Amino acid sequence: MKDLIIMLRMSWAGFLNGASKKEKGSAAKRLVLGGIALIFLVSIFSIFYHLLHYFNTIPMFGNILVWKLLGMVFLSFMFMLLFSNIIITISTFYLSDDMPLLLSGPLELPAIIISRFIHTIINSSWMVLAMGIPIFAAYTFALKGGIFAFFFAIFILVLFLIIIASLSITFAIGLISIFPARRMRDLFMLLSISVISFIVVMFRMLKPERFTNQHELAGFSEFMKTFEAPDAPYLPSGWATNAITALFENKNLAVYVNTGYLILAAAIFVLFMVFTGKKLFMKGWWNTSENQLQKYKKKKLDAYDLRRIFPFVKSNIIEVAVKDIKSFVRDSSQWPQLMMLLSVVIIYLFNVTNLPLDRLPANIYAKYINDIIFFLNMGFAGFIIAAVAARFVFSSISLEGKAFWVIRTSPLSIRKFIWEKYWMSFFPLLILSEILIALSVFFLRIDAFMALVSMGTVFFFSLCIAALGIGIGAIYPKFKVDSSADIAASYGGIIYMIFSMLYIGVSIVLIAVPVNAYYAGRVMGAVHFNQTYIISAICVFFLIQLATFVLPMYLGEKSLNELEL
Amino acid sequence: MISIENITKQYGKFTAVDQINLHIKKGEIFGFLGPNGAGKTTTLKMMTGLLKINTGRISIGGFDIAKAPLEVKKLIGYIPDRPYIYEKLSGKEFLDFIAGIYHISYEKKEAKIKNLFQLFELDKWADELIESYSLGMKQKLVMAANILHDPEVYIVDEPMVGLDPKSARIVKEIFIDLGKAGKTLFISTHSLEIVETLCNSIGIIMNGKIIAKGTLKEVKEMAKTEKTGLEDIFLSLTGAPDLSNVLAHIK
Repeated sequence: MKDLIIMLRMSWAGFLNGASKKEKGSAAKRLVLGGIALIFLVSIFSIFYHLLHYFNTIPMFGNILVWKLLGMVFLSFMFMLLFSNIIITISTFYLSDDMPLLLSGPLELPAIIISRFIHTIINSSWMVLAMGIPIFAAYTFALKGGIFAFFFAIFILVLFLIIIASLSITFAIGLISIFPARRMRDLFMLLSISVISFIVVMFRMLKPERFTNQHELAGFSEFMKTFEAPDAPYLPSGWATNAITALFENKNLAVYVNTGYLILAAAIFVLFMVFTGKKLFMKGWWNTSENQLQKYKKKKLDAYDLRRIFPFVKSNIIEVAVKDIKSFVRDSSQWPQLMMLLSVVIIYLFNVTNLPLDRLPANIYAKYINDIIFFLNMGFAGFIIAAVAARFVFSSISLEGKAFWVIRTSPLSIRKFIWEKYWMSFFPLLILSEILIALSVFFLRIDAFMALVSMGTVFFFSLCIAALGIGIGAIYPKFKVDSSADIAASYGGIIYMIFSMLYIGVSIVLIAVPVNAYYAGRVMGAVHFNQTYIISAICVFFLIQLATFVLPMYLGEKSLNELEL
Repeated sequence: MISIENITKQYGKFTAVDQINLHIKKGEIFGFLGPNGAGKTTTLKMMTGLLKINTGRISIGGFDIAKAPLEVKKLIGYIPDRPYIYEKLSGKEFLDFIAGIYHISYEKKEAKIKNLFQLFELDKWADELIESYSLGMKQKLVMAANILHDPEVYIVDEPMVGLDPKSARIVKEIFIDLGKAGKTLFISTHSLEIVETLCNSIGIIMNGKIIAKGTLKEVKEMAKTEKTGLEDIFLSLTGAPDLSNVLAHIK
């Protein structure tokens, strides 16, 4: 117990030091991140509150739906947590830098296991807990449950988190005693992202927008009513749902029984985890320590071969590109990003083929269809390009990592370096966005003029979003972070996304002026805007493109030049 | 070759390097000594452009690092104390990358890389990913990368960290050869033995200030000690610990 307290105090001190560390602009960062977190929590609360409010108005089945929804929430939490706990267990138990220090000290193994268990549960479950608070608040408000019911639901969720974490850790310890940790972590990361991508794509294909229609929502309610899985009485998610349901319905016996199941299961699984850890952890640790070698077979094509093929390229773009491509392909944390990218592209193409244009009134449909398609398609495409660039372009400077000193002390200037990164990002982004837009134009069957304007606009989108990604990525580099997902989710990543969205919005509005004038003239024979207005819009559009292309790159170069390593 | 004039570096209110002056001639091997946290690494980082200079001026080969950083970087090779390099490349690929950045011809780099791998006994590891290398192996790879592009000035921070005795011996021989070939070496180290056997001149930094500089003989005179060993001179200048106290703690 004493060992455990020492380890927890050490972790707590580390957390406090990290939280109180004041960096340049940290107050603004906290404000922006806090604002985003607040919007997220309020949105969840609002969605659940309105859904529960609506369910309550359905006679007979309303009450059933309310609790089936909670069951689905717990079941989804369970699957999410099983995967995330396994991935985080492998990192905190086997690959963490402080483990050699802890294992070489006179600390009891069970104390180390429990301290890592607490680390894992905090790292893997805080998001679920943060989501649980607005959901339970919505239940409390919508069903008038009272403050006790709210805190009881949180208590049940904490027990649930303990059960799932201890189960996952036990499973991971068993698995790592047989297979090497790194391979398992990569495998589970890929597996979990595949599952999430599959769920996201399937959810989109269910066309949830149908449920904005009262008639369709009634059909959905029927569907949910027959959905049996959340009732699963032998799963912790079932006990958690039943305990909360029983409290709201004042069924005391069911509250005691289900809470009893959860407490007992939590105690047994934690003990079982410690027992398994005592028996198998060291075996897995040795296994991992001895399996860190990764064989690499020689590839034939290298930068010197490419130089022979492209002798006219004088800059170091080839060397930097070869290095980046090799590092990218060999970094397994990048693979899940590609899976996510693929699912986003599928959803985009599915969206454009399923735009609810038939719901528009016939006269509007005839007059503005090309305009509307243009707006929607450009908006979607812009968002996809920005999201892809967040993961692959914004992170590209930061992925130099702690080895950035190699570039900084070499005669490769920062200007050349960031432009080389830029061109390497721009061309793949351009190819991807032009393919996307060509496919969407094909699916939407829009006319040749609009197809041309769309392809021209995404050319500018690629040009400028790549500049925003590289430039802002250079202003806010994260050289100490390895994963590009974490880099994209950083403060700089959020700033990049905000500017990208602003840029896309302003560009679409500006280009829509001449587009609208063209269609108004062709379809109705009259133009809404005068010529000066149209020319001004086009000029401002090009000025915005120029500024977005040049400014971030200039500021990025300046900032990277002044950066102290 | 290297001229450091009145440079100061501050981190907030803390002055890490305080008005230091050093002049190192071409072909000189200069040993930079000092206790932990004295300002050695900060000075080296300012010489390579990794840190900004608050006041003062550093010029290498006649070029000012603040005004003509690329000209300086063409002349220098930097070996940091912590060899962070691209973990997902193999050792051979890392050297290929460096050769490409410094525009070394294919034939020349192939021959040189082969020799360097043999010299540092890394040939069996050439095609392994760097992430599987030990600290010493990474350190040797960074040294090989520097020798590959053949700079005029070597700026070296703790060269012996993680090296086994045999590799340490190889590195010492390499440094001696580089000095004979007219290269300038600025070596920051805690290893007094390295300084004694390699360096033509030394500088001792403490609390950000140079407290002694010159040849070993000159520094010995400054220390006003009868003892001849560099360790005694160093301790005399930087303050020797009260060993009776140390022993009491061990007991």
